[in-house]
Amino acid sequence: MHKLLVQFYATPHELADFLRELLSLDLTLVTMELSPFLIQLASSKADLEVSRLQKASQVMVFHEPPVTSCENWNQFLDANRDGLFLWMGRLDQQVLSQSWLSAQSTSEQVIKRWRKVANILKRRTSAGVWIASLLNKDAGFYKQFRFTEGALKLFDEGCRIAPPAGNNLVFLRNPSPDC
Amino acid sequence: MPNPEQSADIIDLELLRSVEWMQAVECGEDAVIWFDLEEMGLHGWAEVVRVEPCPPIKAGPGRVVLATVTHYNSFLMDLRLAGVSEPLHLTDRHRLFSATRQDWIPASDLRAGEDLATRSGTARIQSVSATPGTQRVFNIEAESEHCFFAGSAEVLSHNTNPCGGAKRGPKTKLQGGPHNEKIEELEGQLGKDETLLAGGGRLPEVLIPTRGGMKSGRRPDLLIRRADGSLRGVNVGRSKADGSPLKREQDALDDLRRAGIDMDFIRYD
Repeated sequence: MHKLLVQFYATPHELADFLRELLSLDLTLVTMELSPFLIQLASSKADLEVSRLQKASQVMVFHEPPVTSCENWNQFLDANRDGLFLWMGRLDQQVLSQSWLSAQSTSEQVIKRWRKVANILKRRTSAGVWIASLLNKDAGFYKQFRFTEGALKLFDEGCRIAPPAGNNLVFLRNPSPDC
Repeated sequence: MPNPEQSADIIDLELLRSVEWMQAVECGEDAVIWFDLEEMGLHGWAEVVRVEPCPPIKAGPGRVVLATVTHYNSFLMDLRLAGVSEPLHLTDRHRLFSATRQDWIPASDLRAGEDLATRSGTARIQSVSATPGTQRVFNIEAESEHCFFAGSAEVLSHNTNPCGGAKRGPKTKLQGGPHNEKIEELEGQLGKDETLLAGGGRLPEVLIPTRGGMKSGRRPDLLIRRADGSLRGVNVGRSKADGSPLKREQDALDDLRRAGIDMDFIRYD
């Protein structure tokens, strides 16, 4: 199985910018709301404005038009293998959650094509964040996690950066030992 | 083996290994074997390019180098020590022995003011900083000892251990692997209001930081979002005779729960 995964922090505007760039590459984008499940094809850049993306929590990207007659997300995943998945982290009440871009396929070629798209994201982000345990303040550097300039600006302004799950503390700059 | 963090890079490993080891991991020319080089943050399938008889080993003092590893790395650190003019150049995961903490600590976790063990005693860290750019880096595994003294300050340094990392790798579903079959079965049983976010045989597993745990990060087999927006994780693993998780499975659950994640365990055996 071949896999691709980029975990990162970005503002809603930066996520929208990134998606609009993908649309310009002639890729098919599908935005999804989860509860209730709703799929919408993004056919123009206007469909990817921040205001329209607010309800969507995830986006799937395809090289070919996907099957959309599905009742739920799990069915959609079954019907549309080899897509590129973007989970969009929220900016909510001064907390920025993590986003991730991922793909999984038995075909190496599929992942190679998505890797080119992931590289667009990588060019927009820097690698490495510091994470500390809430319990004992044990801290470490995680180069797997990336962040945009906008996320860094939010962090510098006091916005809390949330881990992908759980309660660890995330710092986009090296924290002082006593923080 | 391909470097998962530098797409154009190939990691070159040269190993000196016993015939028994080679048989255990089914290593032969053109074979593909799995490596977990935890210290270097590298995991993946490695292609065996060549198998040759061991060259003659010279008699005399010193240790035989059992493995060399070289690849490109963008995560480099400069460590400056009090009284030493030359900084120590390290990868972020390379471990040095902290006399302050009495433990092996990755370079990225070291702090100014901390004392490191050296051949002659200790040396105090003046500063730790990231080095920009990408450079070819090297690591070795030395015979008998799992450490060596590095740099002009002769800092006690942990070596890489590719020997410990090699295995045949997990069986995929296509190979009849019960672990992956169970994961896909669970994915098919998710409730109507539950959404798979990662894992489940459909999507890659995301890394969840678990600072202060047995490992610094874990990847749940399934990460699921409930209708109310909360997350839960599921790990699938082997169990003891009484049905409880094996120690390694329990360690993973404990790490994730301590990090605040609601975790379930499902046995597959």
